[in-house]
Amino acid sequence: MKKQIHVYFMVALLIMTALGGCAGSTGESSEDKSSVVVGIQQDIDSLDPHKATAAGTKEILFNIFEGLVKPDPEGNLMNAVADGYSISEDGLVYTFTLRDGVKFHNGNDVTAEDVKYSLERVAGILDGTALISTLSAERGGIKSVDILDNKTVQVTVGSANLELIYSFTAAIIPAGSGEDAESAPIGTGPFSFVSYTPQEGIVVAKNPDYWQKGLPYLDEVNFKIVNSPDTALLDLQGGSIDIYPYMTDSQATELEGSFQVLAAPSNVVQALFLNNADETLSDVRVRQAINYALDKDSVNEYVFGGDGAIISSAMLPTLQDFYEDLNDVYGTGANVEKAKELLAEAGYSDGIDLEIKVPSNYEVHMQTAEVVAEQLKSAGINATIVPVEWGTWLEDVYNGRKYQATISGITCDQTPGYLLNRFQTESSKNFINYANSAYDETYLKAAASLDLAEKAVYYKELQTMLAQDAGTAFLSVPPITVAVSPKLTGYTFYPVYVQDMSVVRYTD
Amino acid sequence: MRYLGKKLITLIITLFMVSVAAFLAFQVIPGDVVRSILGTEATPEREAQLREELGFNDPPMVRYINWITNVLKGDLGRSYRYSKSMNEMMPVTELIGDKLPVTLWLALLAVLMIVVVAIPLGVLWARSRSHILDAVMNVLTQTTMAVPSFFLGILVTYLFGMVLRWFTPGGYVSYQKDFWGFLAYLVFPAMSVAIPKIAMTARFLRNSMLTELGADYVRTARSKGCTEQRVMYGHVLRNALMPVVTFLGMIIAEIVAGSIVVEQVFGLPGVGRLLISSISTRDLPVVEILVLYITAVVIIVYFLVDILYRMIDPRISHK
Repeated sequence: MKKQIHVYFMVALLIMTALGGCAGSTGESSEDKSSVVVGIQQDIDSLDPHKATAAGTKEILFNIFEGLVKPDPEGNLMNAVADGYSISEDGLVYTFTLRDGVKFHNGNDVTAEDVKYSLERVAGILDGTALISTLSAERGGIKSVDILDNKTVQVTVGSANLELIYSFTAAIIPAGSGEDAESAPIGTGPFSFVSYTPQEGIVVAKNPDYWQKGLPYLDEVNFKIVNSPDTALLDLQGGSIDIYPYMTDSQATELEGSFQVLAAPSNVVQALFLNNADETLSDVRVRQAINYALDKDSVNEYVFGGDGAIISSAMLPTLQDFYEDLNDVYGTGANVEKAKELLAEAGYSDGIDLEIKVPSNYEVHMQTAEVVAEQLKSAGINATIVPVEWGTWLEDVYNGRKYQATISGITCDQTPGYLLNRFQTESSKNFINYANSAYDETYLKAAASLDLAEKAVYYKELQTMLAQDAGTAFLSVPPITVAVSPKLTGYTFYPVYVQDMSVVRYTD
Repeated sequence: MRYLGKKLITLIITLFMVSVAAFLAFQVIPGDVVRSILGTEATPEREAQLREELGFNDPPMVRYINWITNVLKGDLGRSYRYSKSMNEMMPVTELIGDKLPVTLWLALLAVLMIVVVAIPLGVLWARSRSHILDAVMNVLTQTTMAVPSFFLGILVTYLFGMVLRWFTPGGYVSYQKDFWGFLAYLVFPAMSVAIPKIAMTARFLRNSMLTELGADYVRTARSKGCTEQRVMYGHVLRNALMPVVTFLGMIIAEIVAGSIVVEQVFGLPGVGRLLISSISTRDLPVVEILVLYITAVVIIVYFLVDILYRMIDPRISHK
């Protein structure tokens, strides 16, 4: 009898082992030195570079497409498809000269026709639907695109705007290829598109004709969707992904030693956004009380391990010329006495209730909310956290404006105006319902200014107004923490969301 | 034959009711697909345009009827979320057809493991007179039954992926690219699915056999001089297997319908993962079809079990 038992167990064990044993060589981890797997969190929203809106998509498409100009790691613009440009004195005419020898992934040279097509497509001149709102023909963007000669393109815009040049990062695609951009995207970037599988990811391959000689180093990059951050950690340790750009602080600690853990400030302005139209919050003293009650230092410490930047203004500190440091207005630590005093003055000596809606798919915002809610409680503000799905957040908070407070972030491209224009009273993006006519006037002056120094002065004024009115309670600029395999080198941060794989290479 | 027809009608009615429920659920739950697609960059014009494209301007009733007539004609509709080209959205059939083999292979492997391991184990356990074995099996099955599958998945990943390095966690290879590599990777998720079910099935079979062993026919068989082997396999096991077949059927339906949690843990792009992401992006056409698929699988498997039952036990059809 006993013998039999043993035999059965041995057989069962053998089956399991045999089945398992043959799996030894599974996995597409990059044993060879030419390809890399990058873990990404979200599925692609569109492969058409003009239609993609999600930051998580744009950061990947950066490798496939280029505009006339493109962002560089320092936060400036560099020439890409264009090798130079000039702007007329009145700010209305942009003249671009095209770079020699830039080829599309299909082997064709980039011509002035392609540039004209791409710009007219995004501006909505081709079919009436603008795909990039800042360049929209109807909103003072591109009015016309003229080919001066086969290397020169002249763009006339509807209204002068110093920041418009940043929008010329819009991808240049072959003339007439818009129809196929979703299935077979063609660009001029360091990598060309190979394949995309919904829910799995996107694969790109080296563009041998890339105009920056020597780049890219890698033959293939596989952007692979990793659904949960928990499995990402196992995937990194197991070797099935080599780079993962969205580590939380605790995960990063776990990986230290076995991985390169790199951190840099992101381009997200995180805040406890307050709905100024809410009955309780319409009183400026209540909003100020909330600002005083916050302990931004400990948010940074608990949530970001001290790697974030504390802010009290609507601007990214990395946009140095435009940033006004307003951390002194309410202080970065908690001032509970002052907060209680203001609440009492506003007639709420018993404290107030505050409902904070948080998009639950953002772990960082959820963690921040928990810390913030505790801080508010000690000042007599009874905060409750309501986690909502992203879709619901968009509907209720961002578009519907039916909320009291929310913790979220505004992602900024390189234009400082983007962070400020949304707080104009009538802006469709003014989801905090901030209303200050002085702010609106100053913003218009800033927008019309053709002198950068003057513009900066206006922008700083705007930030001060917003802070003094306690329009919202700004918290921090969260860091981006990236785990990179020790076998790799060259990973470069950009002040905008970009995963530039062209500079990544294997050591030795 | 009449029985078959009756079952078929039940199937159709159930599917219809489920499709209405799934459709209604999407009318009730908050979150709008158009806003979710366009994100924070939505402009009123683009929103209106997309709403028109997706046919959202019709009342829900009309949309449902349009959808269901198309499904009946064999057109399962198109995803709201994934596009195939600039003016064409991805057909649901293509999207699901791509993911279905992953889930089906996973289910097949898991069921294979269950049958191969659980049945001998159950027989062995029932026959054993050893108290130690009995106690060990008791503890073992109780614990494995109680472990949630996501945790088991993590344990399996840790043991076989990190310590023994038999597979690369997250190193899923598509079946279109490398079929054997795909299958080899699936062994581990299948194991995580199978282990608790093995415990359940073995336990079930053992109890069933013990009950049968006490029956009169066993005494009769023994007294007429049957060998112990013949009593066990010819009489007891055959009778004891009947309730186990039903039980296995339930398990199979459960696995084929989608091993959602295990797919998440092992990063398998199967039906379960598609369902989760489609719900969160409000991709109604995909969710509808997936819900119908799951319902159909459960009903059909139960139906097949029913038929199998009749084949094993002729008494049922006479009743």
